[in-house]
Amino acid sequence: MKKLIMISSLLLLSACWNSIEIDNEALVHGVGLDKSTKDGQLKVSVEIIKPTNENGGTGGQSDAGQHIILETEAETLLRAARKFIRTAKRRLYFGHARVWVVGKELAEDEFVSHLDSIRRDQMLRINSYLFITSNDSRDILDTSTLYENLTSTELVSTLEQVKFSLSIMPIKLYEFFRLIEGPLENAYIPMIKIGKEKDETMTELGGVAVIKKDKMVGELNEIEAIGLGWLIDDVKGGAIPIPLNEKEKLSYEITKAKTNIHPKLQGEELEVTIQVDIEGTLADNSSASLPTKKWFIEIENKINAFVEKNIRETLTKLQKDLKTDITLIGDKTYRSYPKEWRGIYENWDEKIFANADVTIEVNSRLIHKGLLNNNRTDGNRKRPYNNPYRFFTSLFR
Amino acid sequence: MKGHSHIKRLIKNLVSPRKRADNNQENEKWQPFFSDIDKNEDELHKKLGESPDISIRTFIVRMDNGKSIQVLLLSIDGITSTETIRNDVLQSLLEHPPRFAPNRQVEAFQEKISTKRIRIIDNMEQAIYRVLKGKVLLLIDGQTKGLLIDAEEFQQRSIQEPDNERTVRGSNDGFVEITNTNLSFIRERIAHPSLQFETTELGHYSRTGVTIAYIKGIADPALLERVKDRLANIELDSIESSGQIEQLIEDHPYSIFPTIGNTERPDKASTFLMDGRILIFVEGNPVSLVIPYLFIDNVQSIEDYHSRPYYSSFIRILRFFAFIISISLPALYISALNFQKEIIPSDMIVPIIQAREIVPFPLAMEIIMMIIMFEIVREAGVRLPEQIGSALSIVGALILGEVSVSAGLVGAPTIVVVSLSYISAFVITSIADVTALLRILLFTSSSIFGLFGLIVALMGFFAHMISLTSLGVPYMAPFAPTYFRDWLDAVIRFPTRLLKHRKKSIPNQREVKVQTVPNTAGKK
Repeated sequence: MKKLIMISSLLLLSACWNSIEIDNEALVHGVGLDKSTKDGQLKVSVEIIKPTNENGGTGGQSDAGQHIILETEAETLLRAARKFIRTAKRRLYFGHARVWVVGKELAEDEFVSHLDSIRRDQMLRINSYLFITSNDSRDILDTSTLYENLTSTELVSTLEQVKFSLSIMPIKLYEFFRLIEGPLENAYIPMIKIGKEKDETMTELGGVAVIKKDKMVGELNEIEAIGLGWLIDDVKGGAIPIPLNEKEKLSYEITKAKTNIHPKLQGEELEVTIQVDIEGTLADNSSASLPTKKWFIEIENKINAFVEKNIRETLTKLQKDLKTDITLIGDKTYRSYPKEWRGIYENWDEKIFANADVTIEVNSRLIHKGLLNNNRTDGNRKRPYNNPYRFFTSLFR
Repeated sequence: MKGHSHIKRLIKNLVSPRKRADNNQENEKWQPFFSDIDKNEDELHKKLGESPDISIRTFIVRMDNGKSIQVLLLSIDGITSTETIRNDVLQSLLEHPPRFAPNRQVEAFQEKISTKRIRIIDNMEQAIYRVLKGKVLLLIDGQTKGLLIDAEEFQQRSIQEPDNERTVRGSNDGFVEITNTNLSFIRERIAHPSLQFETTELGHYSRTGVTIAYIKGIADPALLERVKDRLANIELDSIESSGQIEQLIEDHPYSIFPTIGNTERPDKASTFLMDGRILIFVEGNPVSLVIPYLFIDNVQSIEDYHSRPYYSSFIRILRFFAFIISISLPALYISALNFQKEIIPSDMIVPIIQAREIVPFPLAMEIIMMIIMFEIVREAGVRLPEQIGSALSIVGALILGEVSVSAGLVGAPTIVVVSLSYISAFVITSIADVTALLRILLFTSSSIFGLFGLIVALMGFFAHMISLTSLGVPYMAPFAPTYFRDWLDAVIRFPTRLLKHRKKSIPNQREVKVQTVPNTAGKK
């Protein structure tokens, strides 16, 4: 009996009661951070899952706009979260926030410190996606959706299709923080904007923001973003167009790609060799020329030239214009020369990386022999080895 | 020093176990028969009362020397075969006059009676108890000894496959209430002299026959001794069912887990015997007890061995999974919704909170309501006659499922969670009662402490399960004492030709059970 009293009194001693009914909380799915017009303040907008729909909540019928967008201004993120209670009438729960959109104005003004509570607070998920927008982040969260109920959910599902497109470089929060705390303190964040399709507005991904230390210094356009993909060894698939001439065009679909970076540091001089190995298939062939060995080599050379030009453009922009190393070059150098790194990382971006001598070697290969033939098969049909009945035709000849 | 007396008592019990085996004989006091048959008749009338089913008849038998002698026949109607009494006792005595032998008159009568078993008895008290179990007593005038004749014939229902242990591929017979019939089922399957049955009678009033079945040379003698000792120490007025004996002799009477199994299937019973287990049959109860019975036996089924190993293994894994789901799904659900909201998949959260929004009760209350309603429907369904059962299922399915959701009393995900948990429990019917309790306990713990509570409660239950023993045999074998060889036939059942040894988890004396297997086409 004594034991029973002792054990049951333990229940009374437990301090923090964290059982909260799910219908007493407002679940945030996307967060937008912007610079406020007031000085030193944040404009925080949240996309909240609307708990009821018009049908009384029994089914999952998708009416447009099944979300609530709220906006407030506060000094810090946490303060804003508390302030939201006034308008949302419920406590906000950020555990399901999967999308964080940062306005460009804020991004250009030391925004990383504002994201600190994402890591510090125990209830935020760190595998959510981070974006930078040139529009108002509230408008991004408020755009109409194609399939899902929530804009944020749709954005996340977009990013899961990323391997079929070269120009999108999604980054999760923990990856972002890993870059920021890495040897270089530079990072990249994908850009998002509001596009127009006929009369409807919808979100559109494209381009990459370049983050140096803790602010955004520039932007890569969609083509330059592809070049960045090669430089950070993050190409998983995608198509490369190869125009042979006015009429004849080919598409090369990447199945496998690997970038190796070999830095060579001598004092403050850096020589870098970037080796790109690509394997892929001929996805689209509108040329009439016969597939010969020579022709393949010609195509492969064209692919090599295309990729090299792409990489070179991006690299030039990063080296000369932005003077920011968000590629793997810095990381590889740090790993190869850990002792020297201490002495050089102070002026890595401005001097060493900017003046580095970069050699790019691209080696592409066409695989899947069956897909290598001509686009029209008329010519081939009469050839004897393609005739399944050739034994019988020879009998009756 | 409080524990001292406990230890003392324990040692005392170990050194001199109180033998209670003869306790039942106590009320069979020694009382000889009278030599006068009329006095005997009066005494019998006095002892047995005037119940209508007791028949005491006297008649005259002519002996071979022409003399007549008076004979008394005592039997109970309904449990004796009138045919046997008429043909084998009365008719043979009247048609074949017994010898006249003044000193050995009883033996002379015994020679002429042609029933299968007959013995001489000189204790009236004991004779009465035998008669009440279906024997027939024959007394001869002038003799202080009687003849006890076997003529039992109990009413027996037809043999059916037990409802709660159905199989698709396997024998279709089941045990009945008569132990002798049940033993014959076992004999049919194991025709070896090592198969032993030992019967004792338990209960001062009910005098229930309790039979231990085992195979000498396979069953562990220590285990057998333990079972016999426990049974011998039972002293009570009546035995109602085998379940009562189960609870009296098991190691952990206060645990929610049953450590003694039961079966109504003869094929299962004989397989258990061949494992080295001990079976207990109780008169008047078709359910036989299985000792030892381990946790893994709940997951295994006799049918697993009848078909090919692959699907059986899949089904066993499924049963394990169903057990885990059944006990923890409501607990996991409430932890996810009220505590660790992060673990809800983000795509699922919209329908879940939309369903929760319209429900007026807290989630814990909603789930408790559903659990209680399901239990009520289940309990009502078991007891109801079949004709009303269909009405009940309509009410249960419609009212509980459909209408309560559209009325906004219960959320649809809650119904899915609770009903999935209930349906999973029926995959392992042998511990469905434990599952129901565990579900409620785990749910209670996690509705207070969330996932943390669920994990602590699960750890507690696992620790408890590991500490259990089934008459000295570890309950969680072959996992908790790890016997890797038994893993060949634990969760995954390996092909039959690889299972050459008896399970080590069940103590036995004969390790190898498969001596040779044919070499088939040179492939292993």
